[in-house]
Amino acid sequence: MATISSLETDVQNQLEEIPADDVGVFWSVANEIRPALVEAMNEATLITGEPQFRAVSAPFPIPTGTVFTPLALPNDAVALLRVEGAGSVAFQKYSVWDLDRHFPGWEVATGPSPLAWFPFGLGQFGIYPNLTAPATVILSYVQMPVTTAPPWDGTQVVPFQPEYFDGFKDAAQHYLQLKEGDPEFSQSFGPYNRFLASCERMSNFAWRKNSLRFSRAGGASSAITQIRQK
Amino acid sequence: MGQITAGFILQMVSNSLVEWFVNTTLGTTIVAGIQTVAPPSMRGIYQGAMVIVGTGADIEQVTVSSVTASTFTADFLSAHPSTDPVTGATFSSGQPTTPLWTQQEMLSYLVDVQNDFLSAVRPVYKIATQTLSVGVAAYPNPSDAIRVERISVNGTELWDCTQTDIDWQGGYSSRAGQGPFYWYQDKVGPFNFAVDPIPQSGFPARIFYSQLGSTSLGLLSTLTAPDIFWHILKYGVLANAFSKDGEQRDLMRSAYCQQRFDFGCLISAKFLEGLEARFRGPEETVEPMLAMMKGGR
Repeated sequence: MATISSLETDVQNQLEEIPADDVGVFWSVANEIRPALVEAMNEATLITGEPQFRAVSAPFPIPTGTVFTPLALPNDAVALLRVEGAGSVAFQKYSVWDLDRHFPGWEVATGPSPLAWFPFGLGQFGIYPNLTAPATVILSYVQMPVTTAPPWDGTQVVPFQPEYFDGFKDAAQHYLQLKEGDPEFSQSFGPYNRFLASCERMSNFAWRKNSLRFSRAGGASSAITQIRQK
Repeated sequence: MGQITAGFILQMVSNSLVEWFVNTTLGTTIVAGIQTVAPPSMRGIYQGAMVIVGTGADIEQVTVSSVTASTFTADFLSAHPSTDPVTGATFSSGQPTTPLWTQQEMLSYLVDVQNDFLSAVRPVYKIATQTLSVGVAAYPNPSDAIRVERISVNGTELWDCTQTDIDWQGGYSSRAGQGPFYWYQDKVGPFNFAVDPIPQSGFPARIFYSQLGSTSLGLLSTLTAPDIFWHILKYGVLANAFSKDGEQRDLMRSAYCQQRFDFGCLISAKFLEGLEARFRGPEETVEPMLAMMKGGR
């Protein structure tokens, strides 16, 4: 798999920096170019909803309880997509608003096993009903592109398809040229637009796989999505 | 989550402003207390600068109390080997007399920007408890609330409505001794909510609310906004920095950064809506008047 380091040199070339100089001249490789590549990946994640990860090797423990208490997602998770129990059977997804209408009193309802799950903002979620016996579930979620804290040494894997890579380099170039001011910065809008176009293409591809999350125009409808239907 | 610090955001900001980023080592092995160290480079280090020293459990933020050409003095909480890193975006241009920007100024921008972002996107929620007292209708919002999203009593949701709706229904007196069934935020003063009917006995209520960020940040503070959004906050801070009066003012870049911040808020809100991770907006949660007219529950 490609790593951040494997994209760095191309960014340096686009900036007319000395290629493969792992320190950098006007732009520090460690403190500027790598963070710019991470920024590009973060932006692509928000636009396309990728990468998606099924944490099959790390079953998530659900504790017992008598009143709803939010559960924190794993550190590498951005947003929860799916929760499954034994035999890979997915639990129904609800929103808090839905629960209030379908299961009044859900906050204090108890039962032996999960029936549904619901997001509680981005970093937390809940299980309905509160469990009388502990259980484990498998989570699928939109994952942070880079799961480790900065500073990044370049060995971090780029968890996207290769079709994204040109876009990441274009976006990083644009972000970094903010430092130069005009006219170089204005000229870097071309590469940034190429990045957005690549995100748009990838959104369309993501839609073919599941639902369109976003387009260049600012997003898909927030009406019922296939995610909710599942 | 929780891996991005305010210091990292300031580092990214300082890069775009062509400010020197301190990246050296202590150069002197020290024990805890007021110590003078001789780092290999003093560039960017000035009296009053805040820098981050160390790694892992011993990482700390220290404030430089005095400097010479080759040393600085600070009060350290922990012992450190001479090889421990000293880092930080110190915004040293013009220090000490005519700085272009200061660290406190940048942290202040970050506080404001994070709260702007959290208000626009509402990605983080929290639950507080509040005892509803006999004869008391109105209560203060939790101190770190952007807004109250939902209130429940004994695990059951109170209806989110307006006092006007309740008035149209004949007022609480018609339901005295019952409930509460409803909650509202209009005409009860800022940062308050109220319930209806007025409780005639004590009720434990749970308040679901969207959370505001901290009003004070240090370089090692983690952010309330999830890590995936760090770059959006960076642009918000840069929009402020570029619009500041002075020789570095650049309104074109300020406008660009503001647009990136706004665009970031937009795609973040869409991201939450697409995943249904957010509580619904008021236009969706305020119950239709027709339902209210049916007499509540």
